Amino acid sequence: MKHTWAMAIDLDRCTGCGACVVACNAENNIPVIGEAEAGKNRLMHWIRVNRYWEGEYPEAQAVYLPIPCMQCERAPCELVCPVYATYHNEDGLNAMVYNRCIGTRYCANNCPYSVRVFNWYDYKWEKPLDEQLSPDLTVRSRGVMEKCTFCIQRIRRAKETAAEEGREIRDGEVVPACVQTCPPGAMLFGDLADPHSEITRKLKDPRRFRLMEHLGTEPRVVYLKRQKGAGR
Amino acid sequence: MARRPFNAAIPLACLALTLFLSAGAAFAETVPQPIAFCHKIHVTDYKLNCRFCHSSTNKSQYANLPSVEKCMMCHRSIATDKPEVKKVAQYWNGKKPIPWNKVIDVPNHVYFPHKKMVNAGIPCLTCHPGMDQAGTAVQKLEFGMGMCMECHRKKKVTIDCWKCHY
Repeated sequence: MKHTWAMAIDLDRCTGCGACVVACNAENNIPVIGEAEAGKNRLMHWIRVNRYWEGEYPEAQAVYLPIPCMQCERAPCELVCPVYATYHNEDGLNAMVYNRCIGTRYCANNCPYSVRVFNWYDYKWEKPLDEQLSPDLTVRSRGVMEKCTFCIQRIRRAKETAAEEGREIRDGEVVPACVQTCPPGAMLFGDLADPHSEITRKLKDPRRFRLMEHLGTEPRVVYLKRQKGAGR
Repeated sequence: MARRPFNAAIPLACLALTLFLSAGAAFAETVPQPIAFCHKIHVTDYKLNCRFCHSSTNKSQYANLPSVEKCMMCHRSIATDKPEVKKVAQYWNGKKPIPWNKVIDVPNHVYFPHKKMVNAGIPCLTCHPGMDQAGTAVQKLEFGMGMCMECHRKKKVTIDCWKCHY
């Protein structure tokens, strides 16, 4: 069965705590690069939390916007890869194949959401931190582009378990690290191909919007936020 | 009759072939092991199933090495006077695992679930030819993506990149 994985992020619930960023770092073997490199805008996070201010001082309010890879239906990054290292897979996810990547960084340049990050060095995990590396996925080497995969290793694991038990994947069986950890439960992940899944129901919410929708990238990540002001 | 001009390509090809073959030979070299375990005796002579010792091949991503306990299941009473079996007993008495050296190393960028292959009914000897006749483990077939793809195409299994590389 084909899947249509999607994510919903409820901005009315998000507190901007950054737990998703930490969980993602731990799950996906993402290196911590230090202050100096971060100053050069080389952070390796696969999901970042942007902060915006709404309103003027005494009524000012912070709004947080977690941004993972949007897994665009019509991804601008895929078109420019000269070596087919990033492509659309059978589940409609925007796949990134590290061992094929030659590091042209065209894809990152073409990403309107700036979610792709590049390995400028071979990052090392000092002992005993190397013990925390997940054996389920690659430790990327220098010169390779990487990005959020919707925790493909977890999707894979769920598919294997389901196949062994001779059934379809259940709703809520695949949970990416960020979704699993989110303390206020602002994130939701699921299969849009299943008409009864929670995400299908959630995406009928009138609060929904997608990031930079005018670009026509058709992101798989949908945000929910109550709009204020006249006519809302 | 005029001699044919010297063709440099032939000795070069020979050299390349020699290098290629020697590289292949180097690949099939036996990795030194702490105990001279003999696959042939166990598999061919005594007809033990591979999965008797490598018991998680059909349950896990990894094909496991048997524990000292598993060796001692039989060798507590069988062939206890053999020098190599005595070594096993030493590890057992010292409560230490046997420090086997890795023979087959799947690269970090490949996700290879052993259970998928075993449960699909691929015989062990397809990928590990000659293991039933070997002493300590030896990998005679070099693993490359071409080998995987050949089989995957033949069996009409997915060849999506992201199935194995992520």
